[in-house]
Amino acid sequence: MYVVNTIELTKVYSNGVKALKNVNIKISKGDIHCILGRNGAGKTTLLRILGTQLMPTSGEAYVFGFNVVNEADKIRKHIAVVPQEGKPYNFITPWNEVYLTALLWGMDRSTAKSEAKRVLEIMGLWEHRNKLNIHLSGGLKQRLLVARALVTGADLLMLDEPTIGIDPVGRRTLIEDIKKLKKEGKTIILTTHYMDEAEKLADKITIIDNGRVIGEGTAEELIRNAHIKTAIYIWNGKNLEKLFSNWEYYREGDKYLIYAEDEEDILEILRVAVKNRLYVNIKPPSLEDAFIKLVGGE
Amino acid sequence: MSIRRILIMTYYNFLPMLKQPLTIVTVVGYTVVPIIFLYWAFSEIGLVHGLIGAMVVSLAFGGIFLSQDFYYNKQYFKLQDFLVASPLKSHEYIIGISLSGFILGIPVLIPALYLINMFRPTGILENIIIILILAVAYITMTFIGFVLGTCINNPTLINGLSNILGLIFSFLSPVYYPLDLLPTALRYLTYIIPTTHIAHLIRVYIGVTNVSDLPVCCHWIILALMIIAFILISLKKARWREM
Repeated sequence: MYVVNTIELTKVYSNGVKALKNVNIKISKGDIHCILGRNGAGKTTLLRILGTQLMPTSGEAYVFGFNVVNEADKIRKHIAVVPQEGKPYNFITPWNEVYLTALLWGMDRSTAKSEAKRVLEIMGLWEHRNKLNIHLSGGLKQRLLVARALVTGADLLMLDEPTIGIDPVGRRTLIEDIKKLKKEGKTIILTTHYMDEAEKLADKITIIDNGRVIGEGTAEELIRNAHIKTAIYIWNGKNLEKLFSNWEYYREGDKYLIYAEDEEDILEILRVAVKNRLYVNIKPPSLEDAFIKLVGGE
Repeated sequence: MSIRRILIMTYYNFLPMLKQPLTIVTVVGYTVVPIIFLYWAFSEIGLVHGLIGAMVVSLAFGGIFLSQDFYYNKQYFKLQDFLVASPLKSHEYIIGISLSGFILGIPVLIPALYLINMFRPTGILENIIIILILAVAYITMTFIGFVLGTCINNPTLINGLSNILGLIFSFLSPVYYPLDLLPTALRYLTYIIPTTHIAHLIRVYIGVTNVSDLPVCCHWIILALMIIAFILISLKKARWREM
């Protein structure tokens, strides 16, 4: 049985915006499942429906076999969410935040205390437990929100862009923390638009664009299925559209990105580049390349 | 409904106020200052009316201003999103937050009730009725606050609206002075404000001079209908799980 199973899940907001269109996703127990997509792709909408915070318009969604529409209470015993751009109260300590959450989830005092201690230690917050949250760095605050979700003992954690707005060091630490959660046997759904994060963490990835699922699988499968052999970046600060009009290219600032599919293609692109004295960077395809190819490079 | 979850929510929401005691000082200051003027102008009877006003206003203000807590919990801290996906029920959340605001009113309520009893000795039953009126009225105000806080996405609007409603409920209705001081036309107008009935009923049970166009039972009925209406509206309109 899947932890999450959606069938033709659709969400249309009251203003007419179609946020999700016939989404079918299956998430297995113990997996870290990344949902990738651009801003406004529908990632948060999907997560909020699965988190029983938002009602779907049509289709079905099951979490632990329970329907999100009419069995939300049964689901809520098994899940915890880290909302996008969530913040802890400023004038409260990490200890209170985590300990009170444990009590709220029905633990007795001694269990709540030991769980709060364990979780704060896992998340590297134990030494900060008595500081007011307002004095914590952005990264620590974000880890506190994950700790708050973790202390609930929920089997499924839904993390909505947990690393957004955190500096690279804080982000790396949080990624390591999330890996620890997997070792604890948790199933994790993580939305992000950082490709490296998905590559490092995910057992499976779903790419959503414009409310539709446009790719699914492991990072390797997505790269393989995108049929990209090599990613070639070309630039010299000038408009190169005419030179490379024979190929499908994507613009990234002043750089032109072309996905070559075979050796002849690569050689031909390099020939044009060398002839016109252009800068060239060739690299093996990454998840980011597969993503760009799938969603388009606008 | 779990009392335990309600009390945890109360403590959770009250903790930041403990770290910021200025909020408590502000509430006490707002409600107590008019008493000084009333005592100066009307001596003992002015003081009693002022104390009644302070009790009603501390709760009306507290309840309505919780709309800002609900707003920030939903829009800024995203706490509501976290809590919707939890075993906590919406009414437990509202009552929990509501009680945290009620605690804020205690520094006004207890001394006010004590002083009222000192100047106008009142029976135990009457005191219990007064506390019940205040509690129910306060929870109703909180429900209104919840509707405002969860349906409005604009922080300036929520701030302005809660200020205006606080002003209407606290100072435009006769809470610091008896109903009969108002001209008849204005008196009828104030009947649409719940705090008018709350303050009037408290005056009746304390036994201070108070003349109304309506019998006491009518004030009870109007207040009860208003409370039911506000709670029904909030249950229908307020947003916990979003559609």
